[in-house]
Amino acid sequence: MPDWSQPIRQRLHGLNLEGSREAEIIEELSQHLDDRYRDLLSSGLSEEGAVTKALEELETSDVLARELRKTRQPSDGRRAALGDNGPGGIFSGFRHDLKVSLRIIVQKPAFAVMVTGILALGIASNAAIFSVFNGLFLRPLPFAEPPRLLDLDETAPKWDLTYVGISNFDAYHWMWGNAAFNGMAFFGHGGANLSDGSVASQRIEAPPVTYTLLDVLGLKPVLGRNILPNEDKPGGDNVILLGYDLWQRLYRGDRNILGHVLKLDGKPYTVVGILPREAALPPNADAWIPLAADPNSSGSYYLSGVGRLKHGVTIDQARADLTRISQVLHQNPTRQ
Amino acid sequence: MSEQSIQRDLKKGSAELLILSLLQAGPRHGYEISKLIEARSRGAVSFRVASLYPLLYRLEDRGLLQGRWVEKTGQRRRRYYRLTGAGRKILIQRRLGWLAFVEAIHHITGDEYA
Repeated sequence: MPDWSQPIRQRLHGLNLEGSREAEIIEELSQHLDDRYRDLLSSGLSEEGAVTKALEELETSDVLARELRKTRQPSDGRRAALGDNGPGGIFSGFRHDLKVSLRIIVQKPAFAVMVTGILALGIASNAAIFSVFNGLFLRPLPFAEPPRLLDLDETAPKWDLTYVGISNFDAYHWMWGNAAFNGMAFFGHGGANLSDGSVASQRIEAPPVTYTLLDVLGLKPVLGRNILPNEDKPGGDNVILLGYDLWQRLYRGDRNILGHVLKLDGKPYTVVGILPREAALPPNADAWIPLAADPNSSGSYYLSGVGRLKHGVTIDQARADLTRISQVLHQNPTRQ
Repeated sequence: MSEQSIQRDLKKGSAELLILSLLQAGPRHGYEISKLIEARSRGAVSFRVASLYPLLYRLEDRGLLQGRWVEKTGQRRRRYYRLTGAGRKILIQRRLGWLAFVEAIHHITGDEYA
């Protein structure tokens, strides 16, 4: 592998960085160039061509230094963060935080999340549970029995990462192995280009979801049906549930829409149902498509989750239940 | 609009939003972020090392991201970036602002509103 440290160091010249800081930047940028070089070789470039192309990432000699000069550490060395009081004193910071929080709650009243606890195990991937609660001063969550809904996430305390998302493997094993929840559902994030001969093409949010999401939220389609379990498997049929607003906006609430085929990123999807207005998860979704994930594939930690507690089960009991599953999984890893 | 001008305008106005959005699902390292931006924009938007990492460091300084070196067995350590709580809040604001902007432009240019 070429040594990238010299060209990077040349570009950092004049910044007067601390030795350890400079070493970290060189290490990080060198790894990026290693990856780029490897990809370029795989694409068929010669070694010499790949080096030249990879070095173009650093641009001309002054660009990196100029950009890095815009990065300014706070004068006292502290990181700026939510909760910092700033020059206006403690109430200025409090006012700012309150303003930000209220704005978010007003904009997204259906999905305000309160962190209630995080597991602190020394293994790579653990369960973290948050109770989903409503803004006290706003309308209630549009789901059945919202106190029983929990937002699910994983945390990696070993790496000091509080939120890492949930992997396929963990999501499905939680879903199958838990004893504390009536149901669990998981969803990703994603947009797609919707094209349909009858309406203007546009970008929509069409996150993939497990077929369990409607049941967990306690909702039913206003028209048609839910995603079927068989459609929520790798290779399952491409079906789509349209959001209520999208249905009204694009198809003027046409009740004959069921069975209609539209395209997402060029792939055909059959409309099988219309979501109720109350389907406020995943946030900003215009439509739902099946997650159809491979439960045995670990992949990246990209899922969000929500679970409905069984009657009488506490958050602590649920947390212990998921901890038990995580410990078993990570002691006996069979994932790909 | 040419690809170059799309690149320039998008990068100027939305680089922060792009990076925060990509970290919403979980921690990623710099190369992964750059590949995702290029892949998901189908090559229309790309960030080189000289602009990507200074931007990551700025977002980290503002408390919106947190970078951590992560060591895995048999691999070199890598620096992963994750969203902080403040970053998640700013992401929501930026996303809403972006959607409002796009909608406003659409109202002006879209045929169905003519």
